[in-house]
This record gives sequence, structure tokens and C-alpha cells, in this order.
Amino acid sequence: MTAIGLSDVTVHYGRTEALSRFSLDVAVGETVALLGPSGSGKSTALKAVAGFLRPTSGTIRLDGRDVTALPPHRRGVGVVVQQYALFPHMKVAENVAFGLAGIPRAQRKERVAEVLAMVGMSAYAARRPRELSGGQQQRVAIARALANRPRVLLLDEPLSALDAALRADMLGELQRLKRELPETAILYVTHDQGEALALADRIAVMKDARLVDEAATAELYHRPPSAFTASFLGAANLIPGSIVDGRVAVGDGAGYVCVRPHAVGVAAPGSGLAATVTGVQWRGATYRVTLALSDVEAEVRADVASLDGLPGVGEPASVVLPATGLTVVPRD
Amino acid sequence: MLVWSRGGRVLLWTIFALVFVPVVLAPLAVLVLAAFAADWNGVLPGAYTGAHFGEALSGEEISSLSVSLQTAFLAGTAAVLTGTWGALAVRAAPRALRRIADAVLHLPVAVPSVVVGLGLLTAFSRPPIALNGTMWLVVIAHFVLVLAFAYSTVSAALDRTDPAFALVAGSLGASPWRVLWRVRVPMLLPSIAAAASLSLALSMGEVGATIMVYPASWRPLSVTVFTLTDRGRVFLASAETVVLLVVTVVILAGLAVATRRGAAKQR
Amino acid sequence: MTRRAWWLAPPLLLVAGFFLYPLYFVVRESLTGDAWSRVASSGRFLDALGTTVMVSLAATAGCVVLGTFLALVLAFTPFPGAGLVTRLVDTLLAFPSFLIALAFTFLYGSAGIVNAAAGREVMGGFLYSPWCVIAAEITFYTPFVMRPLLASFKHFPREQLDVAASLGARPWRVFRRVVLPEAWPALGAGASLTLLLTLNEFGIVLFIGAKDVETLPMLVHSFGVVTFDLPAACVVAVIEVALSLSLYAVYRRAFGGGR
Repeated sequence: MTAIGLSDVTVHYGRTEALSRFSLDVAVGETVALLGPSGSGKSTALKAVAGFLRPTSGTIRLDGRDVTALPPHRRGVGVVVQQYALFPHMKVAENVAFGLAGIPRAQRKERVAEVLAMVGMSAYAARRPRELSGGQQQRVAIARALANRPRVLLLDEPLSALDAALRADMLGELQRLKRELPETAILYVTHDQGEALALADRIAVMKDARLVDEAATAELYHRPPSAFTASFLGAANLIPGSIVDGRVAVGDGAGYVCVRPHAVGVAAPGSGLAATVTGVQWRGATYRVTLALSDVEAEVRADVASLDGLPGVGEPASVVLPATGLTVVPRD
Repeated sequence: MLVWSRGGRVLLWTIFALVFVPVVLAPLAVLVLAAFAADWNGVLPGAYTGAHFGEALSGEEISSLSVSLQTAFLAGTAAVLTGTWGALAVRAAPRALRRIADAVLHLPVAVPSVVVGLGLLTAFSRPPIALNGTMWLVVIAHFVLVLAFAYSTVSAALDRTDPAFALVAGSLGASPWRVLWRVRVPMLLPSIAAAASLSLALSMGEVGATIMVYPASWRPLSVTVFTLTDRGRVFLASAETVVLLVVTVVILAGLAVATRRGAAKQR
Repeated sequence: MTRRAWWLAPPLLLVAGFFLYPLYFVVRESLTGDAWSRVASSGRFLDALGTTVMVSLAATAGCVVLGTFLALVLAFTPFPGAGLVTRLVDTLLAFPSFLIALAFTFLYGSAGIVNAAAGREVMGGFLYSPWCVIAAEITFYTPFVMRPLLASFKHFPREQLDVAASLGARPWRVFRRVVLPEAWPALGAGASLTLLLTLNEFGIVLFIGAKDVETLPMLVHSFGVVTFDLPAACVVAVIEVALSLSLYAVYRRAFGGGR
């Protein structure tokens, strides 16, 4: 059963095309992440679903109903935006109750208490938004969006305004909410691959107003269909070449051999692809070593646990690729 | 977006036009038409003529325009200097004094212009300072009336300026004078120009205080327009008003262009 | 610290000399003879006081309604050319108020456009009624309400409108519950400034020249330079200043500063 359906949706801002013939289905209970760099059209797609902007062409369906021409107040979707957009003059409880205008007072109170409990904000019902921290505001925004029990929840970069530690916490919260709402379809817009990998059942990668690739999360990570997806999701190394009889042939063919930094090994010269070390960054748990390949113009990043016995910056070295788990993607 | 449906928006725009056109545009349009009207008995003038402008730009009328410009220039310059000075000085003053000074510098906004005129007339028509019958009473009246606006324009801009600029300049070893002259005042230039524009426009159109204190030898354009209207010479009065508006707008545009050039040079 | 305070002396001395000192003379002059009892007991003064307050309240109410509507449309449902309209509104702020009065005589006078278009006398005595002064003041002062509103709408987060709509609120409810509560300070500031300025308005009343519409500033002018009853003019002026300054004090207390 399809909860959200976009088919051939094109959106223009004035003359610029912000979304180009975009199609995507989200099933009931499914979470799909729209992943892409800024300006890739992912937020535009979300706004089109919410009804905040009108597509130039194409159709948008919610639960099978064509809503393309409906204003947002008749779509019944829950939306959480990046800056939360809590109404500053209303208390937390009033913010949450805003969408419940149509139901009896007693029931409304009950519902507000229920969703505030769900996001762990019951103790803050009488506060004003400006008295809350960023993470708390975010929880209220989520509670407000859920109060109506929408069948579709749209999250537009919900964690990007939080600092790193808080972001990890909230990510856990969102995972829990997702489990508690098995009937809700979630469209999650983000530029952060970590959030997409942690939350999404499926990921749709976007670039320049278009859909690039779309697949189940693990599938997309392990077997990226394109060079863009491979580098954007998991920051893969792209080495020009191909795989012949299970061995990497550098500089050969029309594709890239795609390998994640954590799978790349670094050794003294002679045991793999010839290269020169160009830099080392300590990242705490690992060292990121960057190397320039000698036979073809390509930079390789490798994450290694220790620098013991490895060549220093400016010295020759060799890049050791794993025997399995390599994929080849076509060049763009 | 507040209204989502196309129909709703079109309805809103229609109401907007129905309100905006008669309330704001019609008076301006009518005034311009009247300035060119030879006679006007129907919906539109019966015939058009440029004679009113000919008259408006000659003899007594042109000298009235020149009086207005001189008054606006003298009063405006004094008000912008005093207002800028005041805005800068208020921020250096101790807290308690700052509040009082700010209130005092804003005060003339709250008093009717007629009363300002009456006060000057009462105070300066007798020794030790007898200025009645001179142009200075008009200039002083205009200065008092526009000073508060000039002060509040520059003051608002100072509130918006990041104090970090002056602090950084100071940390680079610049003396307070150099910081003032090379950093703070140049950054204020756009608002000083805005204050000058506002002062000039307000002075050109001032009637209330002017009509209380003007001597026959120093009659600004706004009073001339009133005298003409009072005598029933409404077409000429309209032409004079249009001249007043055009001169004001031209000077304002000139100031705006000069400021933009200045700002571009700074970058 | 104290030496820096001296920099305030020149501007404050200028205001004191050219504004406060004359005001002192107005008060002093008002105390000569029996001016206060003469003015207070005259029907003319009480009528003018009533007219002034009535005209200024009605004009302010009109400006608030009209200005809010126009600013809402310009800010939240902009149309091609909305920027130009906004700039025109800004320019109007710098124009003299009497131009509206002058234009009104052509529009609504007995030989004016409206009567000519209707082919008969439809405007009645409108031009010389308080309603005409109110209409002219609404026309002229609406931009004073619009400007602070537009400035506040410019910083209004659009996402709040979006989210409110997605929570099922229709435009009217979004306006009432989300936009209006946050626009109160701007609307209040614009409205009080308009109230103050309409209370003090002189040019419009002077130019329309209706004999039956006499406001306090007109009375000051009439006593002061037409009948040369200086003490009476000063009494009216003192009352006017007291009225304006108390309103201004409320305005500053509520909105913490000038424009």
C-alpha cells in the first residue's frame, strides 16, 4: 500500500528547475530518506508533498488520493522543519494542541499529554519555546506534528541545527519513535549519510534536482549503482579501472573500482598498487592516510588503526585492496 | 505563503487593488492632472495646459521654491550634524543620562508643529533675542522639527551596528578619534544619508510651524501653496505641489545614488 | 565617564534653547490674565477637543485596519510589482500631508470627479465634514502603520506559516493565531505613532478648510496668528502638549524608543 506517491513531479522556482521529473513511492510504515547535497532538490520534494509549493507538472498522491491541488491544511500530513518553527507566543502544550482544533477539549488534553509523553517532554508543557534547548524544541516540534496521528510524517533536516552529541541522542529517539509508529510512512530529508543509514529502510539519492539512485539502504551502501552514490554514501574511493578475474586492473575499462576507506590497507612499497603518501590525519580511533596512486591519477583514502611500520608523508607506499566486496560503477 | 489557493490569492489581490488604487494612487494622479488642467468641469479636465508650470517656475513662485530649498538645506544640515553627534554621544554617556538624553532628543516628535512655531514666536519676539520677522525663525523651527527624525534614524543604525568593528579597530592600535573617523562614521554614512533625505523631505513639506513664524520676506513653497489654495487658485497650487514633489524626489534620488557610489567605493 | 558625558552638551543645549525654552514661554504666556478660564469655558475649545480626539481615533482605527490588510498582502501573498508598491508607500511617508487634502478637493468637492462621474450631487457636504478629514488622514497615515508591520513581517519565519497550515489551520486561523500575536508590537508601535501624529495633524485640516471641523492645532493657529490672542493660543497649546506628551510617554514605555 503506497502512502506517499510522487510521479513525474517537476517544480520551478521562477525560471530555475528545483525538481525535475521526480518519482518516488513510500509504502505505509516505511521510512525513506531523501539524501543529497544542498541544492539537490530534496527539500523541494518534501515541500511539494506537504503542499507548501505547487508543482509545475506531475501528481502527488497520499494514500492513493490525488492531492496535487490541495492546500496544506487539507492534506493531513505531519511536518517537522529544520528550525522547528514553534510558535513563540504559545506554550508547549498550546503548540502541540494547535493542530487539534477539531476535537473535543477533554480528548485534546489527553492527546497532548500522550504525545508529549512519547517524546519525553511532559514536564515542559507549560514552558514557552524560548525557555527550551534546541533538542527540547525539536522534541516539541515532533510531538506537534504527531498530535493529529498523521499517516504521513515529513522530516526536513530535523537534526541539522543540533550539535553532534545531541544529534546522536535524537537519532536514537527517532529510531524508537519509528518503532512505536509502525503504520506511519516517513519521508526523511537529510544531507547526512549517517542519519540516512541509521533510520531509513530505503534511500533515494538526489543530485541537481534529479533522482540519481534509489534502493534498500544496505543494498545501496554495498552495491552503489553510480559513482555519485558511491562517494556520497560512505565516501568511497573511486579508482579508475575494472575487475578482471577477481583482480583489480587499474586504469582499465570505462568504470571506477569502488572501495570504502576502512577496507583499504596501506603497506610498504611492493605489496599492492604503487602510491605515495600525501597526508595523514589523526581521527582518534583511526588514522586517515591519503595517497596518490602512481599509475593513474587518483587519490585514495585509507583508514588504518596504527601507523606503525607505515611510510611517512612524501614517501612511497603501496595501497592494498581487499579481495572481496569490491564493486565497479560506471563513470558519470 | 498565507493563502494557498490561486482563487483566494486573486481575490485578495483584487481587494488590494480596489483599496490601493483609490486610496493611494488616485490622489497622486488627480494632483498631477490638476497641475496640467486648463479647466475641469467633467470627470477629466476639459483641456490641458502647461501654463501653470510656467507660472510656478517664474517670479514670486520660483523665489518661494528657492526659499524652501535654502531652508531645507540649512535646517537639514544642522539637524543631521546635531542628530549624528547626539546619537554618537548618547552611547558614550553614563546609563542614567543616556535614557534622559535619548528621550529629550526624541521629544519634538511628540509636540504639534503648530506649538513649536507658537513657542518660537513667543520666546524670540522679545529681547534678549528678537528674531521675529527674520528667516531664522523659520530655519530654527524646521531644525527643531526634523532633528528628532534625523537623530532617531542615525541612532537606529547605530543600534544595528556590530560593536565588534570598533573594538577590532581599537585592538589594532587606533586611537578613539581614528576609530570614530575611519570606522564608525564611514559605516554610518548610509544612515546619515537617509537622515538627510528624511530631513529634507519633511522640511520641504512643513506647514504647521512655518505658517506661525514666516515673515513676508521668507515664504516657503508649502505656505505659498496654501495661500494659492485659499484664494481658489487650485490648479496653480497643484502645479506648485507637483514641483515641490518632483524637486524633493530628484534630490532624494541624487542622495541615494551618491550613497550607493560611496558604499561601492568602500568595498 | 563624566568627561565623556560632556559630549552630549551641544545637542542637548540646542534642543533646550530652541525647543524647551520656547515651550517654557508658552506655559508662561498662558498664565497671563484670565486665559485659562476663558478658554476652558468656551464651547469652541471643548468642540475642538472633541473633534480632535474623535478624528484621531477614527483615523487611527482606519489606518490599522487598512494598513494591516495592505501589509499582509504585500508580505505574504506578494504579486509581481509588490516591491514597487512597497517603495511607493515608503516614498509617500516623505510627502507633505496637505497634498492629500488638495487632491481630495478635486476628487470629492462639489465640482469634483466623483460628482461629475455620477452626473449629480452624490458627495453632499462630504468635503467639509469630519469624515473627509478622517478619510484624508487614513490615506496619509496608513503607510505609518504599514512600515513597522512590513519590517516585522520581513523577519517572520515563513516555516511557521507552512507548519501551521500543515497542522490543518486555514489562512484566517493562521493569521489570527500565528501571525497577529507576533505582529502585536509592530502594530502597536505603528498605531500609537499614528494616534500621536493624527492628534497633532495640521496640514490636512488647514487645506481642506472646513469651517465646522476645528481641531486643537487649528485653534492654536487661529488664536495665535489670525486673532492674535496669544495667551489663549498658549493655553490650547499647553493642553495639546500635555495630551501628546502623555500619549508619547505611554508609547515610549511600551515600545522602548522612537521610530
